[in-house]
Amino acid sequence: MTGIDKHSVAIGIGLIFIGTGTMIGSMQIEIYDPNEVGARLFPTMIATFLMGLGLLKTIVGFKNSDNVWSSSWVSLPPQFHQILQMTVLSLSYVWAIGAIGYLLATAVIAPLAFALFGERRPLRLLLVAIIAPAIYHLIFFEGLGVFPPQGEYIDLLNLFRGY
Amino acid sequence: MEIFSALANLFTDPVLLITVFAAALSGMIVGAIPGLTAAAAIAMLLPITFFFDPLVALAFLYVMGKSGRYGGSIAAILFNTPGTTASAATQLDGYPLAKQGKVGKALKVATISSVIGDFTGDMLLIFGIGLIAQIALKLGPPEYFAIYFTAFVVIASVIGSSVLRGLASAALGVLVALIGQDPISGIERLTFGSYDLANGISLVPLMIGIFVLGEVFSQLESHGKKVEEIHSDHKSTAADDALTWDEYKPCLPVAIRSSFIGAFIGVLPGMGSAVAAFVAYGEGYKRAKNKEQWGKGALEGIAAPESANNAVSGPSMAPLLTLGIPGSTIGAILVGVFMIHGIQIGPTLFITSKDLVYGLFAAGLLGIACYGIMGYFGAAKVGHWICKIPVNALYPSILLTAFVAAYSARSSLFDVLVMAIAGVFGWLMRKLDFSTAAFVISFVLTAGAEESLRQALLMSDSGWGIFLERPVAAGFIALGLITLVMRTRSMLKEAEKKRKQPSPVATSET
Repeated sequence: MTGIDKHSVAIGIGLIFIGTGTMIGSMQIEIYDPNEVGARLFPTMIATFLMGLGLLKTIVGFKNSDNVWSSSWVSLPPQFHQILQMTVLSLSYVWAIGAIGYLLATAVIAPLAFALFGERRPLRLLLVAIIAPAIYHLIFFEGLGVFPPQGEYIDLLNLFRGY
Repeated sequence: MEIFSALANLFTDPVLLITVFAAALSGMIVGAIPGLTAAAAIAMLLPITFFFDPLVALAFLYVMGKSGRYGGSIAAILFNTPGTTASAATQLDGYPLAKQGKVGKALKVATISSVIGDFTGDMLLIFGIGLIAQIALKLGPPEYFAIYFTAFVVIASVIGSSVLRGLASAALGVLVALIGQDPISGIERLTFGSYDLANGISLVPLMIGIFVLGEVFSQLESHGKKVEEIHSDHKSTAADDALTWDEYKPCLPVAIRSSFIGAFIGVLPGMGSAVAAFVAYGEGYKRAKNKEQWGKGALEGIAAPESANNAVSGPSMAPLLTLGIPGSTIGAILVGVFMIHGIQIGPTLFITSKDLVYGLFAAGLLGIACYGIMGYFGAAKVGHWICKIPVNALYPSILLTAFVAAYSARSSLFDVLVMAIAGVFGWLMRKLDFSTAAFVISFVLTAGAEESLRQALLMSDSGWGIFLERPVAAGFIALGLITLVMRTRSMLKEAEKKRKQPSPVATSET
């Protein structure tokens, strides 16, 4: 399709999609009296609003045929692969903390995070793998008394504490 | 008066004194690092404050916000990169003056003007807030909902470059806030059967994700460029670094006028420091007798935005403390502090926690003095030090801190997952030109808005007509709608003007 603001149309369709999903979720909320001002009111209002906004944005996108910069449906930023790597790293870190405990997870993820930002020296990455978990553990779990997350499969804290 | 006894208590509490000093210093440093805002630092440190006394926690974050706003000017002047959005106005004259070898002079003007602005804003807050709280106590659910509605609409339509995207950002913030149990009936909403979602999405990890992790993503995208300090075209002398009274005298009326501009804008939810700084700059330029110097290193061109920028800080707390409506992203983050410590904000705060409120104000005043003195004598040194920070170590460290900070709030791995997803979402919002500020502020406002709407409809004999029957409620709703219409019209006019220009790249926003 040419001659349309494709970004606006894509955003509009996205909003309609989110609004529709919200409306479906709202309809699943129990109500005891159809006239009652209850738990379903606000979610339904927001769902309707999102769908309306999405429709408006889509119409604006189709009407805006002068917008020549929007020539593709999706334009990826130049550093998209790094963003993708960071996303995978972040989600992996969450999983790793739950699976192997905070210390081991940080020892693995911290050097990878530094590497993503351009650090390549092996000795420094090794130091980061050792120092980062130690420092954060000392500050947050020992100093502030936050209860550390336990790894499901293995946890260095259990080994250190002799469990 | 309460403020004097609060000041007396402050000066006799060494923990508070150290807290205020540390906050002033760290806020200045954080604000001066390009790409790292005080809002992001405050969001990250918020869960840690759970372990401290409420006043210590609030004082630390509040003062950090103030000095962070000032710290942005250091980056703007030294690195030609605004440390905060608001300091982009300071950059217009600050950097050219620095290029002339007058770095010290520029920084001193920025410091003094920031102190004048911040102090003016805080005085207006301290002496005006009691009256606002008394008025707020007389309002009922219909009025509260109307105020929330106006706040939603104003924030969504004023922040950002697109009204539609602003409204969508606000709506998405409301949507995320609705996930979980209905606070009145306990019924699960939009949880899709998930046990974790039944407890709702917590504000703290959401904010850390949006503001901190989202920023890390953005910095990764820009290759984590090293901060480079200015190389002046001229060798600077002692006179270039000094600031005499005769040099600052013409700036004084500009600073005072800009302070009031900033204070007025600060009270309005969603406007923020950036709007205040640019409005004050424009106003200062209009009235200037030396217009030809503005944009080339005029001292008044630094004084105007800096005093307005910092004058926002105090008054933006007024809607937060009296109505529970945060006027800025920092205000939204401070809501989290109150929540963590179980303190109900709103007009009753002045009845239940008066000492806390005035203690906070006293800490703010001392914080202004602290960053003023540190900045006047040490801002250039802070700038030199920041150049030495290895960027490829700074942002990974921030990433790791964000993860453990998000976990610390409720010792919940689900919160860490929320933070990670919010980080991606925050980055995506920035790329698509949605407003993260509107998203977060709307998230914070949702609970109060829904409660007041349902209460208003329950007490109404005429259903939705109650909002038209009550004049204050009707007035606020009309104000919100008028703001929306005016903003939409002005954006459409701008878009039409751009369309008519012979440019190969045209953008159109509605």
